[in-house]
Amino acid sequence: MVDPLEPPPRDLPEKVLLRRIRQEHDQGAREELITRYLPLVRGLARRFASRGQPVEDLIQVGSIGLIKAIDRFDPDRGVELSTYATPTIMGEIKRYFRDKGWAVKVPRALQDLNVRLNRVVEQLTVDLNRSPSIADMAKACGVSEEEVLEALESGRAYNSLSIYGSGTSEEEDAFEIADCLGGEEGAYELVEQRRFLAPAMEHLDERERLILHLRFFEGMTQTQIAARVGISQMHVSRLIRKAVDVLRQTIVGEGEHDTRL
Amino acid sequence: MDRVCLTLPDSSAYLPLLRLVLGGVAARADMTFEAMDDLQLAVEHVLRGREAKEDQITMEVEMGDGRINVYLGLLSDAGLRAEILGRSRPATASMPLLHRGTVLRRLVDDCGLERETPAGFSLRLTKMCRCDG
Repeated sequence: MVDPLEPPPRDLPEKVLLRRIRQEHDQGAREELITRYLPLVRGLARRFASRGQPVEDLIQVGSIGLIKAIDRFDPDRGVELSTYATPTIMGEIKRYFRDKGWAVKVPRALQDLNVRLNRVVEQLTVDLNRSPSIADMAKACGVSEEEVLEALESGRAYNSLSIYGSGTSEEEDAFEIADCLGGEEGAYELVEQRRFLAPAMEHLDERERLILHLRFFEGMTQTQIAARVGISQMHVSRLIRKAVDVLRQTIVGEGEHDTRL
Repeated sequence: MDRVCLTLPDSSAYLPLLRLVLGGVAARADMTFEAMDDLQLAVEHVLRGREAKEDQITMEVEMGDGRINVYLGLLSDAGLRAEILGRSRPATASMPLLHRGTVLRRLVDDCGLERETPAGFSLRLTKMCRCDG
């Protein structure tokens, strides 16, 4: 029976709503909190507005994160709900992008191992002061070498929708097409290369152009590039492959019908 | 030197299989992940950039002495042959940034033509197992 003297949930302070959710499993209080924090979800979702996914979808995904945060929040921990909810909402959105990036159906276990390998490779590179071997990676993850190879191969099916955008390094603003042309080229050859390269390079973002330049013109290793750009080595590998594919399709005009190796 | 040989149809559908086999051999040879990745990319770049199609492709992988040699053949792509021999300069290639001579020099430690026949040639790619930058 509803107490007529009881103020509606929308008039109750947040602490009261949280107590009711925790102690009484009050659905009305829960819905009121969700409504109050939807602007936070919208604001966070809009940060990813230019990443190729409808904002409304991102808001829905973020709302799931908000609901999880509200259900798990412990007000006795001494943090604000907004502080707790923000990374949960962001994590849900980022997981959505990660899942969306898989071009083919890859078992979750392989996806997860691929993500773990991303971190493990970085850590082992620091620990060993060299690129790790497959055996090193398998041992660190507690899986077989074959599983590592399978997970790495499944990672090729992943198209990293750049949720982080291209602005990760001050190098990128300074990169020009001319930077990728060899110093020994004569003026005429310079013009020739610009003519062939320019249209194709437009299909790459700043970071992809920088990485290609560093790899194939400066001769830096993937590990060195990763440190310079501030991303993982596996991500560098993916971006190199993706950029080369884009250039090949643009310049050579490979279509979907081209099924040659 | 231990040798693994794989023959398969010249179709992009088999590229993942090529990579897996190459990865498996690299793991046996205790190659670093970065070196393995470079070698896989080198093989992909050679095979995917061809203009001439074959009925089938053979990849032979040889390991020992701290290195892996990959032999791809028989290939008939004249453009690839010219780029490997240095007879096609990056500036005048149809895809200068993707000039296979340029790219392979960065990805592998050595490459060259092996076994030239009227039907085509075999390309060798050599990569040291330890890639220390």
